[in-house]
Amino acid sequence: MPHEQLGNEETIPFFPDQFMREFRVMIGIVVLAVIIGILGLINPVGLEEPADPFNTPAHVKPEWYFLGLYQLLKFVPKTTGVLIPIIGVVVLALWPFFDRKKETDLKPTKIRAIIVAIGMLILIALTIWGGVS
Amino acid sequence: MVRRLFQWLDERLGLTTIHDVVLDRKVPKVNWWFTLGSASLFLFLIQGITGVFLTVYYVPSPDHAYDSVQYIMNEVRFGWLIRGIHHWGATLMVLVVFIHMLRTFFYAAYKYPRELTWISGVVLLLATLGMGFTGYLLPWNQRAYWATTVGTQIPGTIPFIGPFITSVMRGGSELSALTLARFFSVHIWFLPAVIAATIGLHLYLVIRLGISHIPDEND
Repeated sequence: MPHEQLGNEETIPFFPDQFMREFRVMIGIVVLAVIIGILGLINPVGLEEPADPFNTPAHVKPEWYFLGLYQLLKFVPKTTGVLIPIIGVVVLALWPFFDRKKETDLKPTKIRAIIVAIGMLILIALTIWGGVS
Repeated sequence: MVRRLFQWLDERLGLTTIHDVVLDRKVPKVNWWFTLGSASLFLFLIQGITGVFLTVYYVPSPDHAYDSVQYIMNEVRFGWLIRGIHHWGATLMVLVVFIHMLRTFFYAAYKYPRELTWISGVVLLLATLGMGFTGYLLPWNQRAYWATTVGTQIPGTIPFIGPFITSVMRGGSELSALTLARFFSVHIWFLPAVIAATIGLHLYLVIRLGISHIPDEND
């Protein structure tokens, strides 16, 4: 049972200890939202030109978080390019069933740190590349 | 008096049980990275509230969408603030949800018995990206129109079912009033419903299974 895992380690009550920490983060988000709001007075979120179906702009760009994927699709053949993210999502969703070994030391954590670092580098690089190209 | 009122409510609502299970549960000593889940939830609420206000003035038709957004920005009192928060909140939410996933992956919190928590989290990540994709079209400006033209073309290259997916997304062969109506509907009804229900499952699992501790030497 999962609850037994908590048996021999240090625990804290969710409320107030962890809750207060989460509450501070929420206050931080509200402060951020207010700052963004005030910045909006100086530099409002743009609206640009209205849509014109007969006039294709020179540079078509998606939201920034799709730029990496967009850039990837420029370089791989179309069908492969669209299958990569689909396979990626399936692998991501089923990951807990591929990696289920109980961990006895910190080695797997280090391996995961490397995977995260490489994955992020590729993603950030593709995103920046997609942004400037 | 207050005490009797509380007892009356507690007998019917089970407030003490909720307190014991939800608030008084023991969690491992964790760090700041473990606040990203509640931050994601909070951002979803902010997006929901600002989004509801935006629908008061927004009109999902090609003839009026652009003008209605302009009206929100220039005429509606604090409209610029609501749209500003909704716009930047979307970016922040994608970031926070994504980093929340990286944290979970890094600490191997997806392992037994939390596989379903992870899968529901993947659904939430995809739904969040879907919100970004559908919301992008709504201002009906050049950038949105052409980004969506390209964005709906991409699934069209999937073998066999691709063209069908594209035509379902667009409601025809080209972007039209139907596309805007569909994206609006998906953005304010379908995806929020999916996200709300999945958050319910996700939170139930988090409370039922407890959160996992940080991996250490003597695991």
